[in-house]
Amino acid sequence: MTSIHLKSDLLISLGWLKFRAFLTHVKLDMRRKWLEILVSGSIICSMIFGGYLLLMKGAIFLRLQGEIGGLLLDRIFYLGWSVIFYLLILSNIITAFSTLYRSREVFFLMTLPLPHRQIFSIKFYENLLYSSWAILLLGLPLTLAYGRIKSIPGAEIGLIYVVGLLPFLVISTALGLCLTMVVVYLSKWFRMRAVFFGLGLTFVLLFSLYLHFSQKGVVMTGEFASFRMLNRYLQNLSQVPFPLIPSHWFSQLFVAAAAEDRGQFVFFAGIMLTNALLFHELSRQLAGGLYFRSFQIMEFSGRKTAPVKPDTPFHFRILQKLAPQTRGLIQKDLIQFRRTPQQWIQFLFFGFFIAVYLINLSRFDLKMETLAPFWQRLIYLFNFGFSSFIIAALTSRFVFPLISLEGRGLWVILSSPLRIAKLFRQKFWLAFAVFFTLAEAVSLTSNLFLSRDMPTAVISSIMLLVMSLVLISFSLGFGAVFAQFHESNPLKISSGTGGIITIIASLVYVGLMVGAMGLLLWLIGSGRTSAALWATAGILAPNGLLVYLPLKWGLRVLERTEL
Amino acid sequence: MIEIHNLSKSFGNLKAVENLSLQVEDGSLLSFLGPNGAGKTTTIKMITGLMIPDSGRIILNGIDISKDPLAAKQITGYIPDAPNLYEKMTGREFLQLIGHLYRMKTGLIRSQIDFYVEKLQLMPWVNQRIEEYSRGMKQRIVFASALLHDPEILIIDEPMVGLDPNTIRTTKLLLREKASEGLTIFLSTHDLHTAGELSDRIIIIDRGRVVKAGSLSDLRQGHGSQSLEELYFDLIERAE
Repeated sequence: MTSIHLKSDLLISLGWLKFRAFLTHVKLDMRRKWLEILVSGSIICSMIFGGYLLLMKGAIFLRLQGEIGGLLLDRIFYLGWSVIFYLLILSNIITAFSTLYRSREVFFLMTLPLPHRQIFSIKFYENLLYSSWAILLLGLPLTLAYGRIKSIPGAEIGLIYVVGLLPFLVISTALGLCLTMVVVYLSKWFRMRAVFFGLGLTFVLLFSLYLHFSQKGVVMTGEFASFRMLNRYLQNLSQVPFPLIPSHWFSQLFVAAAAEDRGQFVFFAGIMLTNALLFHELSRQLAGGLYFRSFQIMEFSGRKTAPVKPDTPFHFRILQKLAPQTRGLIQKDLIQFRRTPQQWIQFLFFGFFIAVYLINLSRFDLKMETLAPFWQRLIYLFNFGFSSFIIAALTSRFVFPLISLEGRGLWVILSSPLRIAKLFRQKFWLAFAVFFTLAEAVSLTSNLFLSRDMPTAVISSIMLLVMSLVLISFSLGFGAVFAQFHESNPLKISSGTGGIITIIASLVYVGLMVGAMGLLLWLIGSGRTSAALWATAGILAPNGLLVYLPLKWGLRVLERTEL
Repeated sequence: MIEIHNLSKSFGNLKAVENLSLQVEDGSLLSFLGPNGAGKTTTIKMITGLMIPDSGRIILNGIDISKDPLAAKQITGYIPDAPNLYEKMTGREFLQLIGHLYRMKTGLIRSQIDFYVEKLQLMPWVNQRIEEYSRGMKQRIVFASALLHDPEILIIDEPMVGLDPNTIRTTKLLLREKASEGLTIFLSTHDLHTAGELSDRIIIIDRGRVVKAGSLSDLRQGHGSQSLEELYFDLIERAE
């Protein structure tokens, strides 16, 4: 009995200590960085409010389209939360490597008279907090706009957050942590890369099967003339695609609240809560048997990675023409990226989403030429927005942490005869080569499916080129200004204050550029090609400053950095 | 030659280094002794260009580091107190990076790496990732990286921390050998035995100021047959 009291006392003390440390940290930050906090707070609030307004506009537009609009709205809401659910699981897996295992605190906790299951519980909530808050911030405007359009009172939305959102987070964290423990445990027999690859492949297979069986008929826009096809499409929309995932239960809470159906509301709230308790307990039970064992494998297995052959591999040989310092830095960045699972797993995940988008686009026979110019422009703008969003998301996630990831090894660079500007230039052009190529490939492939005309394709390519430069400059510049040299987890770096500011600034910029692209498409559509070219030049000119200023700011901060 | 003139650095109200002046002759080894918080690491960071002094000048072989930091860094090697490296790289890849940063020719990088791999007994590990190394092994890689480009000046902060007796012996021999070849070495340490054994000159500092400077025999003058340890504590106590 005393032992149980001791354990729970320790647990509470630790929790309290962490909370106090957090408060002290916030207080200190408030004193030292009040301007930074004020600016980032304002930007975050404007982003939530702006996102809310934008989504409201979209939702009102869909509502005006009659029955199909309402169904599409429900489906988009469900799909939005499905994506958030999968992202949360992934984010939990990536964060778990540093909270469950690679943390000095875990080593300390393991020496305390605490059962491993209790340590897991502490880490469970820590993981939930770290991996969820940034994604939730992005999901907030979505729920607010959807609730408003469905005329759900604010108090009920608050209730849904408690009975729906909290369980939603607990379930995704439990699943993420269970998967992590299993993967680490399996790495006793297989290489971790192979286990992840196997899991990824299984996911892709299941997802393909789901796509294959759930979509009885794809949208054939040209066939909308046939009411039979339209009816079938509407029927497909109203069907629940996959009723066993929490995003469906969560969206049904909104549907029930909107319909004032108390019975359904209580039913889905009950499902969410009981499942959250079940998954939480299951993860604790699994941790009882697996956490310590997987910890042993991760930290003390003594297993070595395969020695690297001293020969220069082919992909490095092609860098031989570059100046030695640039070559060395590029090789370092590529090696580190390739050998950091948190980096390449998430990069592959992005690749998977892009592939799904392109495959779906290729399957749709949109028959663009039969559509009214307004719809053509809208579809094209959506596609342009998607390509731009990809660069914004990728640069915020992968370019922003680049300077922070120099980490404690930064002394190597700063004590060597290398100009900091050169380090900046190397990272800038490396990121540009990778992400511009990717965005341009997505844009060209999707344009092919959408059969766009030449002037539009050329203008969109130029726009993407300039946008890549600006977005990389945002991420790299802000990455230096808000550098966290003591953090080695790239996900934690990109989901910190600076990361959030960067993604918000990038999304606002993308929004403005998509608006500008809308204007250009309208000019091209109305046959004023030369006006469109002048307008393009006018839109792109201020972008020069947007490339220069963040880089200059970041460089200045980095040059003044003292280790 | 290292010349430091009236060097000062403060952090808020704390004066970490105050009006420090010293000189290290070519090919000599100077030990920089002092208790924790004496200003040793701050001084070293200013010499290596990692920190900007509030006032004063640092001249390395005639190059003023504030005027031409890149040229000064090109002739300097630095071994920090904590061997924080790029953990995902192998030792060899890290040494190649250093070679590239110092603009060495590819052939020279290869031969220098081979030389130090043998000299510092890195062979079983050099192709493994650094994250799998012990602290001592990391320290050996840092030694190799600091010497790879044949620097004229070597700045070392606490070189023996975490090393096993065998590596300590190898390191001491290497430092003596390098000094006899003309390398100017500035060594900050807590280890009085190392300082006594290796140094041509010793400087003892406390609270950012020089307490005593000179060769071991100079320091002992007027202090009878005290050991370096007794002498050190005596001087620090008097300074306080």
